[in-house]
Amino acid sequence: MTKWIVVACIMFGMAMSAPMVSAQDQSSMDQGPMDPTMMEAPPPTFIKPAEVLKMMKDKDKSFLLVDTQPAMAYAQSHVPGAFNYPFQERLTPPIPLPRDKTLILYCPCTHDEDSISMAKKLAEFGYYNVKILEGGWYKWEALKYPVAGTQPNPDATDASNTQPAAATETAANSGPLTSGRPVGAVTPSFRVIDVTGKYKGQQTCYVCEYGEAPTILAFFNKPSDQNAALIVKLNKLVAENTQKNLKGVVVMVDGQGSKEWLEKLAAEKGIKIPMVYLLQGPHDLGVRLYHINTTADNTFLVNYKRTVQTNLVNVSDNNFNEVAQATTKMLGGE
Amino acid sequence: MANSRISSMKTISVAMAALVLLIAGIKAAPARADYQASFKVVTPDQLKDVIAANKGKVVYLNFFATYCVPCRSEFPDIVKLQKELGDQGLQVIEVSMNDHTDPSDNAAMKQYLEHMRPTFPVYIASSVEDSFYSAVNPKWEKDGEALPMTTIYDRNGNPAHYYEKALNLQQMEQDVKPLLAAK
Repeated sequence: MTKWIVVACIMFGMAMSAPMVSAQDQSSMDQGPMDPTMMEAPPPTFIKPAEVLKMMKDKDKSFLLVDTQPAMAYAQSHVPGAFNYPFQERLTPPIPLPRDKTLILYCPCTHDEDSISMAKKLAEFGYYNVKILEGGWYKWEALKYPVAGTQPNPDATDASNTQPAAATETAANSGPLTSGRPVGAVTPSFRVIDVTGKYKGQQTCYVCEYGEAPTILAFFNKPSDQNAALIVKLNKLVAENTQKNLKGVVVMVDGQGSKEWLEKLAAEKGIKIPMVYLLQGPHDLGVRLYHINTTADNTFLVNYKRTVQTNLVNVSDNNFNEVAQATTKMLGGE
Repeated sequence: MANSRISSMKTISVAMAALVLLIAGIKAAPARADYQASFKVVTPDQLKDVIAANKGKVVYLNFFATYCVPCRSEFPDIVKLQKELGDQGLQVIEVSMNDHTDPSDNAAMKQYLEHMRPTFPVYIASSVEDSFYSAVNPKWEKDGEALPMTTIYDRNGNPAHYYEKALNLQQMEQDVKPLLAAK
């Protein structure tokens, strides 16, 4: 009998607890609208070129290759069967892509950055079945896989021919190397890992902190003697203009690998401006948000009121005065 | 027989005590020490729905990022504000501009919220591209996508105050209290 009472008590307890627990779950669910699109988009998955080639040979109908090159570049050469949907900062519906196929994105990029960015944007519109062709267009060409178009690239003989995105752009537009947000664009908040500034070792956001103050954001691809010399000059320029509230930040694009170099540089050259790196290196969100061309040695953005006033790429010892002049002009306008 | 009855009574008492503890434990669950950080992905449209659903309340909408120093500095005051004025009709809504697709950002969010222990809903932006900022408010994008950003809505759901800087508790109260008083 005792056993039965104990069992009954436990049963009663369970019966009591079940609806209460679910009620709690419900109330926490009620905090926001119930919507399937609230589901977190899965991180992008990659697919190897060989796998895609096999699927093409097998006449697999479950996927669609999506070419994110500009239309002109697509017309010249692309992966056979690929649909051209050029990279856009903002996707505007209607999106002409099927929802019942796996979308395989590729871009003419060194690190698949446009494809990764597009995958995220597509996820906002509910496209979760998206993969990224590993190595993108350059890898495909280097492997001498089939290409279609008016000028299938005859020069693609080996991996050494892989060109950076900007180089293609340069060829297409006959313009100079471009990198960084253009003049007139805003400077969004982005995460950095502080190495020598006041938040040493922590994640921080100097753009957030400096707000509307005149600020030079200098992105450096990797450690080099020339970049070290430029950082020394930038540090001096900021020091000379502290009364005008000028700020400067050194951002190393290659990531954590630059940490020791920055520490040494700060110690040896007495660099006072904060020097930071991007946590994910060339794959970091900051690279995408700021449109940093990872093949450029450096990108200087001279900003005021969170807007780019001057954009200078591949600054060298000889023409650092252009940064200084742009800064003087900006500060004079205050 | 008597011993057996005593033993039965003991067993029943223990079982009842266990049951009481079980129920008490469930009831006490929301107040337990280990704060459960939760944050859902939100699109600008969904965010507008959340604000609309809170019509009748004064909504304090704040955008932050775990790595943003001014955001970190004002966050404890926002937590205090909700505790102080929540029963008068204030609803704080927080949206993180961390990158929800990055595991390191998700880990940072969890740690941040466990430290701050907010009592209001916290979301994370569906995108950190320009399009998100402009969809929330074109002015925000135009001004440079600064963080923190705060918009305070009156009880009718109309934006009454807008800031692209950190505020302190006194500044928050100055804006919120008159809006709460206006029924």
